[in-house]
Amino acid sequence: MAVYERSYHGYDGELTGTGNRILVISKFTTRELFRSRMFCAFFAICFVPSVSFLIAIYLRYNLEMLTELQIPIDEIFIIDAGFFINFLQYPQASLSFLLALVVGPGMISPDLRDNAMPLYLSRALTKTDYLLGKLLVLVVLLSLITWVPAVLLFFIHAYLGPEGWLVDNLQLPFAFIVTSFAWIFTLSLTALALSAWIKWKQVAQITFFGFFVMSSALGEAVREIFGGWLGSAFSAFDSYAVLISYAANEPVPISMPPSVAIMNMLVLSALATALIFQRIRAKEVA
Amino acid sequence: MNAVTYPQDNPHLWFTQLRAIIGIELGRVLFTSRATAIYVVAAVPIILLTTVGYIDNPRTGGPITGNIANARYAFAVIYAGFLLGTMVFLGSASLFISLFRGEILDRSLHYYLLSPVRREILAAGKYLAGLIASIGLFGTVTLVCYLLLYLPYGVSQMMSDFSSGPAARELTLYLLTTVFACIGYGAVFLLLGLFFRNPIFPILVLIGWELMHFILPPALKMISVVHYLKGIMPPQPWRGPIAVVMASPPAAVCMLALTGLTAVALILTVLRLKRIELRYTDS
Amino acid sequence: MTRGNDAIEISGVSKFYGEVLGVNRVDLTVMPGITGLVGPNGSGKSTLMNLIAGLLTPTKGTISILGLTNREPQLLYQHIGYCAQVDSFPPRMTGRQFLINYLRVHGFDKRSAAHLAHEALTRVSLLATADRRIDGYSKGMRQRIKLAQSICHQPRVMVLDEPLNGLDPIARAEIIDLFLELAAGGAHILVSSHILHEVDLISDRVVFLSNGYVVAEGDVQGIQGEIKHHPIQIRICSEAAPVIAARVFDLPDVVEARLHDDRRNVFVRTRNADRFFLAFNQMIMDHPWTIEAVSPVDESVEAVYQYLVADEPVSQ
Repeated sequence: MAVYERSYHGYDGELTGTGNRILVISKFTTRELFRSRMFCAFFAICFVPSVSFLIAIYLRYNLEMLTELQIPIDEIFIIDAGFFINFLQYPQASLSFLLALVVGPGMISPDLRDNAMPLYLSRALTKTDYLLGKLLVLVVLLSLITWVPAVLLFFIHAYLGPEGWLVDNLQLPFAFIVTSFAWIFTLSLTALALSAWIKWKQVAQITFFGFFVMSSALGEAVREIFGGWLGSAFSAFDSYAVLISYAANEPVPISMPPSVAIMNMLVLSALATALIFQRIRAKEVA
Repeated sequence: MNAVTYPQDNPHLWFTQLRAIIGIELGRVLFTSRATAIYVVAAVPIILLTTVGYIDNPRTGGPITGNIANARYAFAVIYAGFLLGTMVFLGSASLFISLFRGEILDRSLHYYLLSPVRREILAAGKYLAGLIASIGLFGTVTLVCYLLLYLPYGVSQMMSDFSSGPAARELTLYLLTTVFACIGYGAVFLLLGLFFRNPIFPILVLIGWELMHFILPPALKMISVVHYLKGIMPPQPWRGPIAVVMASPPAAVCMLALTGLTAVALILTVLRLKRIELRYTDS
Repeated sequence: MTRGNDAIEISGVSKFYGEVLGVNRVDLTVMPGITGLVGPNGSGKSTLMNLIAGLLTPTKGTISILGLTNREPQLLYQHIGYCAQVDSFPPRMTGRQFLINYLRVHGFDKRSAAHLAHEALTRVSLLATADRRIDGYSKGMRQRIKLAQSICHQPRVMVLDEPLNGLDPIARAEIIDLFLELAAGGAHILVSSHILHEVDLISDRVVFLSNGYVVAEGDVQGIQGEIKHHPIQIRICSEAAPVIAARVFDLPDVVEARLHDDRRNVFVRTRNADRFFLAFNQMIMDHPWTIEAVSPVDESVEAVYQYLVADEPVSQ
């Protein structure tokens, strides 16, 4: 058939904007995640501490019978900045680590293993777009179980609690958001870096877990030998604890300088990002 | 068609096959790029203790660990928390799980399954290869780390401690603990790798189980590896009520019990291997 | 060691993956020679091959290879060689090491293993690159080393899943010659392939699979003969093709006559080939036509495949 007889011609309609293109990757990645019932159940469980803390706040201000029984509730059950810091530092830090463990290592490795990277990068998508698309999934999921419930709990307490409490503690929501994002990016980028370098998701998960556990254990060993805060510098969890307390203007539980904690997270994130970009290539060259 | 003559199915054949499997597996677990992580993990305590050996306490000018008794105390804490609890545990997890699960993921296990080798020999060969690798590596690290304790104190202190002090006995117990940890955890992880498509979740459960073992009832304590390991280790510097709660049987009993636990895990591995199915399709 | 049995017996075999059907009610007896396994993607070819190789256990039914089952792997796998479709190998091995290592697992001593490996490498023309790492092999070389691995212990049964994938035409011809040589020596060779004319070329008999069922098995001509209700197509080449196209309708059982664009060939469909040939011979004697060729067009795996399998809905 002569070319002029053919009806095919190039697409000349509107193209999706760059921002929306990134969302395509995020959308399909999220859809795949929520196909698993186990994951849905686990994600639901991640909200249990938030609900528990919410119930605790409600009961604190609504159980008249405690007052009638003359139980000094103001002395026993104090809801202050420490209450919210404990919420973020203990249940939510662990759950966010587990969520990153479940989700992160399986994000890039299947695309590399099954040779899907050329399919992505031969489209109008850069390496950065691809990474942002994947990262967005982790950031959103981890945000939903860290600073989002923390900020909501804060405002609910501000509503239920004593007058002026909100104004006195206005730095808290900002502290939660900033430090949570630092934690989220550290976890997410590390998970994605391991996913980019290790072919199999299961091995990447074990390595991700091992990396954080080992660094904490190493920190313990260093603390045992050298004393002081040096051991805490090896632990991402300790760095997070220091940052939250410092940002919230509360006494810092570990004597590590906040600058060291910030540096830890920055260095880890930067290293992870560099490793990811080295690995995301359209074609494997032997 | 001229068929080859196969050797008789007897212990000599099994030994030949065992040697072949061990040879292949040692090459796979120790001499590929995937072994890098295990070597890094093994190097960390050596680097740490070497650094400690060369750094002086800025206040006293002497070793940073103080006297040798303090150094041994510090080693006890490091051994329990880092060497045993992290290096051996996670290193064994990585090594032993990859023996079967790694090959399934790599889609190369069928080469073994299509060989005329008894499944018992296959399981034994893989387990022994993992054991040789883990004991060789982690045992060496334990030995080197213990000897590095003496770096700031000199050879004479070391000789004295070994000849008339507690060092020989302590080091022997640490090495035995490492060996039996590799034996016990190795068998458990070999089994987990075969049973579970994604072993991370059973590993997390196992960690929780091992961490909480001291509050388990006696019957359940019997299926905790760390419960027996604590009976083999040198007396740990635990203080307070936990010291009573964490009392373990005598070392000989612990070794026997761990061997029994290992045997059970290996039998289950063989049974699973006999029923394993591999699907090799386009996907 | 066999038990006096020279066949692969598959009796009432079904394999289900949960609710998904792999194969259903397969009854086959595979004798020595080359048997081709043909079917679209998802028809159950690989499932059947994995069942025969013992990598899967049937949900129902039994499989016996030369009188042995997969409950005795130490005996069974002396006699089976399997070339899987998946392209994966243990890491960091050269071709020679790969063969020798697994021959040692078979139980051969070092010298025997080296000798058998050398023979296998020679047969698949991979001797020159035997000491190079498999990671650095081309696709064709990887396919050949897989084949070498499946034949190196000289098994009597070879199960080969798409063995000619990735091979250049010369290599294909060499490997086909190898199959024919092995089959002539009494081996059972089960080959699956999408390249129907090659299956046609090398197979003594063919098994057609569709949606997990065996829809036909045997030699192609026999299958064609069994499909009584399917008209057979015959090509007649002659200068008088246009006239013949018009006159064949006088003959019994002719349902279609199609004149080719070159006006020298006419394709006739008839329900009964034997009766058509008799009648057509008579017609030729009565007319001054010069007939250059008369040949059936459908006696090929492809034609049977098109009819039996391709006409059926493609499985998901």
